[in-house]
Formats: sequence, C-alpha cells, structure tokens
Amino acid sequence: MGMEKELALKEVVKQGFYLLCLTGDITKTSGEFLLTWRNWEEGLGSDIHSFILDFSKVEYINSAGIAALLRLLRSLPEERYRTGCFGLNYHYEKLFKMVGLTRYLRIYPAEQAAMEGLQEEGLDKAD
Amino acid sequence: MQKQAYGRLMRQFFLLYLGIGLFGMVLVTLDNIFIGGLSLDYLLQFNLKAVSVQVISLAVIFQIITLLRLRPLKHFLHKPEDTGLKAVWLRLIQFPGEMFRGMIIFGWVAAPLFHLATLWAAGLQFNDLEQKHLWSLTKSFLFEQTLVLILAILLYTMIRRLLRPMIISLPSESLKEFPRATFLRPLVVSFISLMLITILSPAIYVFRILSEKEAINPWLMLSISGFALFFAVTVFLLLVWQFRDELQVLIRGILSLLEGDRLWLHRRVPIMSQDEVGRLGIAFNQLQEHIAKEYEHVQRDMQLAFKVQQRLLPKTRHQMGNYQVAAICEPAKEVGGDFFDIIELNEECFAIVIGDVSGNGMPAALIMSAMLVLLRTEIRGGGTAGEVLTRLNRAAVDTLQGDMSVTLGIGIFDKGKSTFEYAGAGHMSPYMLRGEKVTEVPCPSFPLGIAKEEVYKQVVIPLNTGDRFVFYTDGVVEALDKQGEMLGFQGFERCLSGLVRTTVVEKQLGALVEQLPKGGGNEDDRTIVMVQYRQQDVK
Repeated sequence: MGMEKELALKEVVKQGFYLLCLTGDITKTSGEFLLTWRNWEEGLGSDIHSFILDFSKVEYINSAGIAALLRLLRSLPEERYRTGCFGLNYHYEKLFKMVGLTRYLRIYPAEQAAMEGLQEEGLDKAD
Repeated sequence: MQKQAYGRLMRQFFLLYLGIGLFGMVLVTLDNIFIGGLSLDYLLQFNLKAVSVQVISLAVIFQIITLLRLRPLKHFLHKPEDTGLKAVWLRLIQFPGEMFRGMIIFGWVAAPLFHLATLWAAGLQFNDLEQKHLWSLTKSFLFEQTLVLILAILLYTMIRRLLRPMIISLPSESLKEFPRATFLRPLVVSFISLMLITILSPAIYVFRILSEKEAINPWLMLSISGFALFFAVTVFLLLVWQFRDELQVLIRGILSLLEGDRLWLHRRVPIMSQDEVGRLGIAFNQLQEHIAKEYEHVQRDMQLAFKVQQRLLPKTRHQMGNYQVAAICEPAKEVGGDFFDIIELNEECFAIVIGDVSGNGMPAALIMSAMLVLLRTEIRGGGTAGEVLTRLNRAAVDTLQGDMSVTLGIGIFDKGKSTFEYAGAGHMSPYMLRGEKVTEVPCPSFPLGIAKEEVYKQVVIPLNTGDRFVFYTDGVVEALDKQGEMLGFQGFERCLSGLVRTTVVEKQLGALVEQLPKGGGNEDDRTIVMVQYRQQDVK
C-alpha cells in the first residue's frame, strides 16, 4: 500500500449492461480521473439500462475516492439507469452503506448476480 | 590516517607502473618470438634481462613523476587548510591525461632518436639504407609507437580508476567553478588510439613480411588482429564504465530526492571530472542546496501551521459532569484534515464532534479550519444534531464547490435526560460499548459538500451508567500492519471489546491506540474520541 496503485478503467457493454471494471486504488487523483474519463452526464448510451461497477480488482478506496464515486453516480441522468456493483469486501461494503452510496448502488456478490438482480429490478419496475 | 591513504595510493601507483611495464615486456617478447622469429632461449639469455631492467627503471621514473605531480595532494592530506582544494582536485582530474600525453610524446621523441643513434653507431646514413632495411625500420617504429599507445591508454584508464576513490573522498561538493572540458575529448582520443592499435598491430606483421619477403601466416595475422581488437574493446569498455559509474552517482542522488529521502537533502555528490558529468554534478548540488533551503522553509511553515491547528482543537481531556472525555488527533503529515471538538451547548447538553476532510496535508488542513469555524457557528444556532448538519451541509456545498468533501459526526449528550443523540454526514458510525457488548450506532448519509438538498437525520439512544462511546476517523480502521493487513471494522471491534471498562477513559484510549497497527505505509490522519458516562466505580 506504500505506493498508490494507478487506476485503470475498462468498459464492457453487453445485453444492455454497461460494466465498468476498475483496477487499482480509488483516491483523490484517480477519483478525478474517473470523473473525467467520460462525460457521465450525457449518459451511457441509448441501449443501456443498467450500470454495473466491478470493484473486484480494487484494493483501496479512501474518503476522496468514495466522494468521487458519489459524484459519478449523482452525475448520471436520474432515473435512467439501474445501478449496482460487485467485488466489494466486507470493509468497503460497510463503508459504502455508511456514506449513503447504497442509495444509488445495489451491492451484489458477483457479476452474474448483479446482472440478474438488476434485470429483475427492471421487470419489477415495469410491472 | 590520511598519511596512510597517501602511502597506500603511492604503493598502488608503483605496482601499477610495474604491471604496465611487465605487460609491455610480454608484448615485446611475443613480438620477438612470433613476428621476429627469435627463440625464447635466446631472449632469456640477453633480451629479457635488458627489458626487465628497463621495466623497473620505467616504473621508478614514473613513480618519481607521480610523486612530484601529486605533491599538492600530499600537502592537502597533511594540512588541508594550507592547500587549495581546487588545485588538488584539478591535479587529480588532470593527472591521467598528463601521463597519457607524456607517454605519447616520449614515444614519438625517443623512438626516432634511438634509431638514429643506432644508425650513427653503425656508421650509416639514412640514405644508405636499402629497401629491405627501410621496411624493417618502419616495422620497428610502428611496433614501438603501437606499444607506446597501448601502454599510454592502459596507463590513462588505470590511473583514472586508481584516483577515483581519492577524488570521491575530497570535499569537492563545494566546487562551483573550474576550467571546463568536454568528455568527448578523452572519448575521441581513446577511441582513435584504440582504433590505431587495432589497425597497426596486424600492419606491423605485414611490414615484417614485406621486409623479410616471407609468406603470410593467416592464422598468426588473425591472432594478432583478434588480440588487438580484444584489448581495444576491453580498454574502451573500462573507460565507458567509468563514465557510467560517475553518472550513476548522480542518478542515485536524483532518485533519492524523488523518493523524499530527507538524508539526501543535505548530501552533495562528489564532482569527479571537469567535463559535462562534472558540470551536471555541480548543477545537481546547486539544485539540491536550493531544494534543501525551500524544504526547510516549508517545514518551518508547516510546524507553525501544526501549532495553529492544534490550538484550534480542544484539550484532549475533559470532564463534563458525569462524562469523561479523552481524545487523540494525529495528523499523518505536519497538518491534517481530521478534527474533533467538544462543545458545551448549555448547562444540560454538550456535543462531541468528529470530522475528516477528504485528503490530507495543507489543503485538507485549510478546509478543516474553515469547517471548524462554520460548525462552531452553526451548532450555536440550536436544533437537533441532524438539523445542525443540514445547515452546515448547505454552507459546505457553497464553500467546497465540489472539489472536496467532509465527513462529520455530531453526538449530543443530554446530561438531564441521559440520552445520546447522533447524526452523521458520511462519517464512520460510532461504537457504543455497553458492558461487554460492542454495538455500532448506524446513521448512513452523504458526506458534507456533496448534495445541497440532503436532509440529515439523527438517532437517539437512552444512556445507561458505564456506557462508553467511541468516535473515530477512517485512518484508524484502515491502518495497515507491517504485513499490509488492514485493521478493518472487525479488527477495531476486537480491540474495543478488549478494553478494561473499569479504568479511566484516558487509559482505555491509550490501550486502544497501542493496539492499532503501524508501519504499513498508508499513514492517514487518525482521530479517536472516547466518552464514558458515569464512572463512579472507576479505579
């Protein structure tokens, strides 16, 4: 943990899901990188119904990183996307709840569960 | 000690000269055997004895020259104050080149003189010589010049190597001005010399064939060329490695500065040459001097900022009626973004506040100071803990402009009602320690500065005698041990459950801090505030 691990981002779009894989640490600097990586306010594309964050390769998130995640999720067009995440350990799961991130982000144990969960949420809404 | 170093250096010089002389003797012997066609028995009878005497004489002459030329070094080592450092340094830097030039000039002058003297002794004129003798004379002259070049370049390289530790040990860091040179010169001279050696060595054999009208032995010629090439490459590599070593000293210094190694701030690199590398060393030393001054200036400012910040925070021990409060606030750097406050609201109530500005260092410290002032103003305005946070958040959104955020927790203890009211703004949920039980007081919400419309809520808990509350910042739970393992919430809860509740709160806090991991390399600000209600039974 001595040296900050640079954040790398990779997007995967499949079946209406926009999956963002994060690798490295999420701190003040990398949080700024995340926020400017694309124009989030413009949305994720017309075919996208769900936004999933993959934290399985993230080792460290500090308070500035959490604030950046909050800003990212708040900057997405309201009510357009169902959002979820997976790959969090117990510590960050708890931290996400404390800072109110779970108001925007449902936490799932794995990618498949996230996709199924968000799909069901969409069906519930449609009903 | 210095006297010993000088004596050792002179002994090394003598051994070097003997070694180089012996190497020359080996080359002459090989030339006599393989190119001259003389037998080893013949050479042992006469030539080797004569050459041995010449080698020893040469070593003695070189030693005398060295003693004379390096006299300033001897004086400097005995009485540094009486001898100018620059003069000694320049002499050491220039000595290898002087010896190289001296050797070349000696070769150019002595060889023709020797051959003229030989002709004169034989009663011959240069014009009397036949074509065959002219080839032979040319061959001898070329061999002598090649030999001199080989020995000169070897001498230059080895003397540079020998003097390097002495040059490094001189306090040359203070040198700022000296006659400039370029590293291209020794490099080009060495390259040309070594190229000449490679070309001339087989050429000598060709001249011998021409003078003796013998058949060429291709294997012998290939061996001579191969040996010359091997020698040239070896010596050239030695020279290049010397330049590389000098550059590496500089690179190490620059990297240490980048790593924030404070020791290097006051160290300077030795100046080992007059060329570009030496000038780079001077530039590096001046830059380092400048950085050291700036660093000290910033350090003083930071220490002052630390004192100011500490004055903004309350005392770390408080007694509020039946409530005992103890706190620690340790910034990771000189100043930090963590803060806490203990505010007496009225006769019945007091508030414990804990906060953490995202990031650390000076920007976080400035925001922390502003937040502390805002908080002290807003909390006096009354209302529940949630209402205070809601008002504070609106001001924070305007102040922070989306650049930073602040997590904050407010706990209001009502002495009359014996209640604990808590509201958090994205802050670590405090823990309630009731008997042996460690319970989290959850109150999820956004940090301050994120959403202006956010309405913060509070929870109210009735108090029992002996209840303890622990407020903390993320630097506590995210501390790493030396193996890189994070303490985490569960680890922190284990630490809390092990505290002896019958001791005073200050001791409990001390015991808690002792258990926190250290040395993991992710140092963040750490703040813990501990409150204990009614401690009548405390020992």
